[in-house]
Formats: sequence, structure tokens, C-alpha cells
Amino acid sequence: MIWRAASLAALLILWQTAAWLVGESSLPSPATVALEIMREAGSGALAHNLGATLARVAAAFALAMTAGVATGYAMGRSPGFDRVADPWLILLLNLPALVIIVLAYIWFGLTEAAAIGAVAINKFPNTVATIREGARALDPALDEMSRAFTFSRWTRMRHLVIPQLAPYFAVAMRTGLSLTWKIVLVVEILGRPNGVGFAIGTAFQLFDVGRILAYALSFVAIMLVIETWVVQPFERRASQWRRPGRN
Amino acid sequence: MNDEHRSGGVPVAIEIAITRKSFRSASGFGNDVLADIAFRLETGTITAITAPSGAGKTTLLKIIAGLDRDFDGRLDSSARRVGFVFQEPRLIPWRSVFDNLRIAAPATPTSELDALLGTFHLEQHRHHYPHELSLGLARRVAIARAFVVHPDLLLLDEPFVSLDERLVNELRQELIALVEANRITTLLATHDIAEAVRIAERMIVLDGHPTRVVADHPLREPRNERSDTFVSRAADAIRSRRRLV
Repeated sequence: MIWRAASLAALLILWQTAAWLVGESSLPSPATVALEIMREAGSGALAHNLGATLARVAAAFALAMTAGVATGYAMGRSPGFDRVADPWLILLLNLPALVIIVLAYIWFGLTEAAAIGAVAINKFPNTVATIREGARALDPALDEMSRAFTFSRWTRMRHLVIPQLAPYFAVAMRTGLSLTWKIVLVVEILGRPNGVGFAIGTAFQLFDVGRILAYALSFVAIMLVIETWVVQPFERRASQWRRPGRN
Repeated sequence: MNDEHRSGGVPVAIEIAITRKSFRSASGFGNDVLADIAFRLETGTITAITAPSGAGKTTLLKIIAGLDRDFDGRLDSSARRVGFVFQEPRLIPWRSVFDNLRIAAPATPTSELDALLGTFHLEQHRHHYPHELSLGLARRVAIARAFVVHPDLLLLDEPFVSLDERLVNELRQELIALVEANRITTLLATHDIAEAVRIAERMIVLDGHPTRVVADHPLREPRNERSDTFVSRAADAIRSRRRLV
């Protein structure tokens, strides 16, 4: 925690120095950005836009993780299904986010469902690929043991499969969150009337670097909180049994 | 399942007849590992299978457990619950010793699980994780897990290998006591002939390429009357017969 704070402080100093060197209009200083954040917060615009973006991130993330975990597990366990679905996965992995978003808007209109769906489809193949890796790495010796002792399907899932997939799930979650919110901004700039992306789009038209940074950093701060209080505790829990000296 | 009462009213738990079991190698050629192996296991007896290392003992146990159905031949098993002690303990690494037992038999009351931990002197290790245990302790947990399901068929794959002698003696006594008390049909695979002579009522000797039955000895001497001289003499006799094959 101390190192994390020190590292962030170093970044602030670096930023301040750069702002002095290039000038406030190109790179506003940390204090200017902080004032901007306060002004946006005061008007209620910040909360409104952050809330809209956060809701989209949550919805798209949940959708992509649920579908991705199920598909990835099926592909990891069934070689037949993997052979059939793998080319589709490669196609999805390499389809640019922008293409999916633009097509979704053209086909389904500038709607919330199209926006969230487009983000979820962008995140989906990463989750599939990560979880498939985990499903392939499931220990066959434990699997055989569970068959010898005729474990129920639920017991197998709960005590064998889920603990083995947990680290892969954590990776998918970590990469997924940052990927999702970046794509949400693109979706918002192209066709949503609110959200961080929309606010940054407006600020871009005015070359208002301070506001751009104010929104970007506010959202990064929220993601940092989620990372620290949700993702990391989950990872610690998942690997708790590895650490000696609990007794 | 129709062979519950055969051969003059003696109930038969397991009857196995393998004509051939082969593994396909990476280059596509079939490699026969087992051939013409047929025997039956009488209810409540301990049978030992001895074979050189790598002769397919584990494969045979898996077939008898019903884990491997890819063989020519047939398996008649009336066993409903199988207790399998694998060569490596195969405990669930992220669950405690106690939970490893409970997961194998979720309906078992805690008092019974604690009693079983007591039988195998594992009380102090109740909350330990498998990686915190020595191999000997992990084996004990694996054996305890095999008993917690109240097996009618118990399969043991080299359960005493790489343990020190004192521990082996202790573990063997515990095992025999539990098997006798519950009349569990038991099959023990080992490469150690003397070990098999100490514990079994019958010995099936496997050898050759592919592996087949080369000898089938009953051991009528009561287990607790088998002296060290008896064991070494019987083991020598069996070894010399094996060389003749």
C-alpha cells in the first residue's frame, strides 16, 4: 500500500513537471484538473456521466463473462465443439471493436441494447480464450478420482472445477474490466447522449484537455477502487490454500 | 449383476475377464498391455495382485473400478461403492483434510468423520491442507477417504510404496482391521511380493508381455500367524515360480 502511494506520488510530480514545460493549454497541471473535477462534480454532470458509463460497463461485463465462461468451458472440455467453434473465435478475436460497434448501431439503431451488446461481443472472445485455457488445464487425475468416488455433478463443479478455474476467471476479470470500459467510451462517443465517452467527445470538440483528463482520471479512480476492493480480494481468496502457516 | 449367488451359494462381488487391453501409441500402433486376465474376487477377502512395475497394474485396477471401459472382455461387478486409493494420494489440494473426507461422502455425520480421523491418527491434521502433509500422512488421508464412502469394493494401488517400514506396519494393521470388520472385498496392487504375502488371502501373480496371469496362490495361513520366516519363504517360493514362466 505504501509503495502504491509512493508510486502514484511520483507520477503526480512527473505530471506537474511536464505541465510546467509544455504549458497549461496542452497539459493542465494536476491542480487545474482537480478543480475541473470539482466543478463537474458540483454541477452533477460528473456523477451522471460516470454512473451511465459504470452501468454500461457492468452490464456488458456481466453479459460477456457469463456467456464467455460457459462457452470457454464447453470448448475446453469438448474437442469436437472446440474444432467447430475455434474459427469463429479467431474471427471474433480479430474483428476490430470499431467494426462491431458501427455494425451494431447500423443494424439495431442507436439504442442502449445495441451499445451494451456491441461491447459485450468485443469482450466475449477474450473471456472464452482465457477460460478455455483453464478448462484444458483441469487436472485429469482429480477428474478420475471424482469418477471413482462418483461425485455428483454439483460437487465436482464446486470443489474441483471452480477452484481450478478461479485463477483464469480472475485474469479474465482483470483484463476484461479495463478492456470493457475502454470500448464503452467508443460506444458512447459514437452514439450515446451521456457517459464519460460522450463528455470526452464534447470536450474534444472544444479542445478542453482539462475536462478530458478530469473525466478520464475520475473513471480510472473508480476502476482502481474496484481492482483493489473486488478483483484483488477475489484473487487472494482463490489462492489462499497455497499459502502455508494459516494455523 | 446377475452373479450375486454363484458357485454353490458363495456370493461373488466381482468377476473380471479381460481378453485384451491395448493402448494406441502416438504413431497409431496398438500396444497390448493386458491379455487373458480372468479372475473373480470373493466377498470380504483381500486379494493381492503382484506384477513388475509398469506391467499395467494401475490399468487393471481402473478397469475393475469401472473407470476404463475401453477393453475387450467383460466386467461383472455388483459393487455399488468403490473406495479407490490411488498411487499418488490425489487429495483435493485446496480443501482441508477434513473437507477431503466430507466431500467424498457428503451425508456422513461429523462425528463419524472425526472417528475415522482418529482411527488413522489424523486428528491434529484435521484443518491442514494436503500440501502441508508428508507423503505418509497424505496416504493415510487417501486411505481414510476410501473408507468414508463405506465401500463394498476397495482398490489399493501401491499404498505402501516409499513409506518407512514402521509406518507401513502400522498402516497395514489399520487397513486389515477395517477390512475385516466391514467385510470389504479388497484388491491390493503391489510390486512387493513379501508385502502381498503379509496381507492377502490370495495372490495373483501377473507377468509377461502383454501382462497375463502366471500364478494364482491361495494363502491359507491366518494373517496374524504369518511369521517373518513364513513370509520370506512364501515370497521366495512365489518368486522362483515366476522365474520359471
